[in-house]
Amino acid sequence: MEPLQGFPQGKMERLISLRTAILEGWMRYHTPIPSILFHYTTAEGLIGILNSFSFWMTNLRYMNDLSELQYATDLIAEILESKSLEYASNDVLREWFQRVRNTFSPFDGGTQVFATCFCENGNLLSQWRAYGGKGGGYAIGLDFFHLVRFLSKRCFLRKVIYAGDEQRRIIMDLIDRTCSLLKEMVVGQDVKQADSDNTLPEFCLFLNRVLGEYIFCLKHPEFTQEQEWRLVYIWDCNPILNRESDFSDLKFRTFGGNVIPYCEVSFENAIKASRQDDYGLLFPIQELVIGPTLDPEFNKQSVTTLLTKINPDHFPIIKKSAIPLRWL
Amino acid sequence: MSWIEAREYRAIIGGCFFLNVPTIIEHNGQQFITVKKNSASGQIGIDANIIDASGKTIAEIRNDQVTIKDRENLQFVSVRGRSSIVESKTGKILYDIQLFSGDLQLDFKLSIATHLANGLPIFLHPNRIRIGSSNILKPHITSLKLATQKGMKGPALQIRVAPTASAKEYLHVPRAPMTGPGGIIGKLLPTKTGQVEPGMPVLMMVGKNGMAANISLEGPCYLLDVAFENFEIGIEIDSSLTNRPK
Repeated sequence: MEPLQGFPQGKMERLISLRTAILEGWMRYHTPIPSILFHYTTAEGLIGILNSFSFWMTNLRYMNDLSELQYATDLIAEILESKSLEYASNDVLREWFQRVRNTFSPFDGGTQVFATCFCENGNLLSQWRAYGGKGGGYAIGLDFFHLVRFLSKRCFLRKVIYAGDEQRRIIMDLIDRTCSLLKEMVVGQDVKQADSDNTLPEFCLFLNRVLGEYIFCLKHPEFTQEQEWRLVYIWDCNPILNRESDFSDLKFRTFGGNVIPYCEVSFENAIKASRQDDYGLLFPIQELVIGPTLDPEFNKQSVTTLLTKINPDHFPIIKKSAIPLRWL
Repeated sequence: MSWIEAREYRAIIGGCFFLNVPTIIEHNGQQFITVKKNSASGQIGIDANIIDASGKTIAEIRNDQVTIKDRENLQFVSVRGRSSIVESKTGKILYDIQLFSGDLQLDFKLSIATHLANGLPIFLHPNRIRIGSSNILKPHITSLKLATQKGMKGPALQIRVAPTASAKEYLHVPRAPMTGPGGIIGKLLPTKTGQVEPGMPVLMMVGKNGMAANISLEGPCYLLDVAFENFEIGIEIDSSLTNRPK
């Protein structure tokens, strides 16, 4: 966390302390990681993942359901609005709220967030409907505890928070604690003075960074049963603004007539390491669930062969969903 | 809080299933992984040493508490219900335990990479057990169930490993019948080569009166998906020779 030029060291240290405390509380939502997380996919997706040893991480802005992000953005905007009234008597804070409201969305800046979705539950009817509407869905179960260190990109896992009260509490707590520190630091100062040593811009950046992470972890309470986790990769680069950067990782696919940016994250290193006895790394694919389909036993045999081909020294656990096909 | 040896538990250790086996691996009468239970809370804990190839103890685990001796090269990673020792430079996982409280199917999963006092490598990898040489190609024992009555003496598997300059590439197992305290206990399904091969069919090693006995093997080996049930000792290793370069 590099401070802006001129932002006093003493203030920076206090801001870092606040950040550490907030992140500690935040990380409690995201640990421990469940011993298995499931990625739902189609038969084509399964073969693609197991042949390439990689997942496609979609730019979050272009995820299937755009309203997911809109929900979080709207919620944050609403809370910022109400909190700004609470602190309106302070000129510096009023200005800070004004700036934050205009800039908190990470999608307006250079940062691009890519994610792949996982579920705690490997047999969810809603997911089978989404990924195997006519039968033929699969859920790949992975143990991320060590795997995450072996991925080709620096990714992290975040649990999606669905409870509306909890979401509000998290956002309000962040805003209150940040306001409290800012208020303390700008006592007796006006907006111009708070700008002169970059206190106001630094606090704007601080809140935007934290909210930038919250925004992809909050989802409408209606989706609670999904029990979703997201494997996230943050690419701090905008191809339009930074033309000198290397964009070879950035790929595009189509979905519903739209052009969707994505990048791949490979777990090939983990597969290789799991084959070596001295690495002590579990074969990353712990379980595979075959969704409702006409002939699950038929698929079980082919999928077993597919996984055994990848690692003959591992007995894959392959389960069949007991959900009747007619329910799809 | 007192910790006692756990005589009853269900666990995946080195990718193999262990049911109520007090001594998982024994070498020269010495066990180096002990499953323990807290008498008050019922919490499972492990006693084990992580020994490097030179014979130095680099980490100790006592009653599930980890002490890192080599702080420069090892790091301890822990969250609720799971803890690991990771080699900082390579990312190798030397110790990994997952505890499943309230899970009736399984009490814990454990993997450890260590060495015997004579330098013989023992890898209780999360998916398989490897004992002996570092040059084993594919001598597997696969899908074997070794079961006996509770309290039966003797190991389920006895492995004689005599390290030589050229590592044995194939594990030869005695052809049937194998005998033990319960009499003839069964036989390995014959293979063309007389060797245990990958993908070998399941064999129930339950003998007369429900008793089974130990199987003796020679040479280093891989164990995949083997179940050890109710034996006093899971694997006994007979390896008096040193494996360490002079």
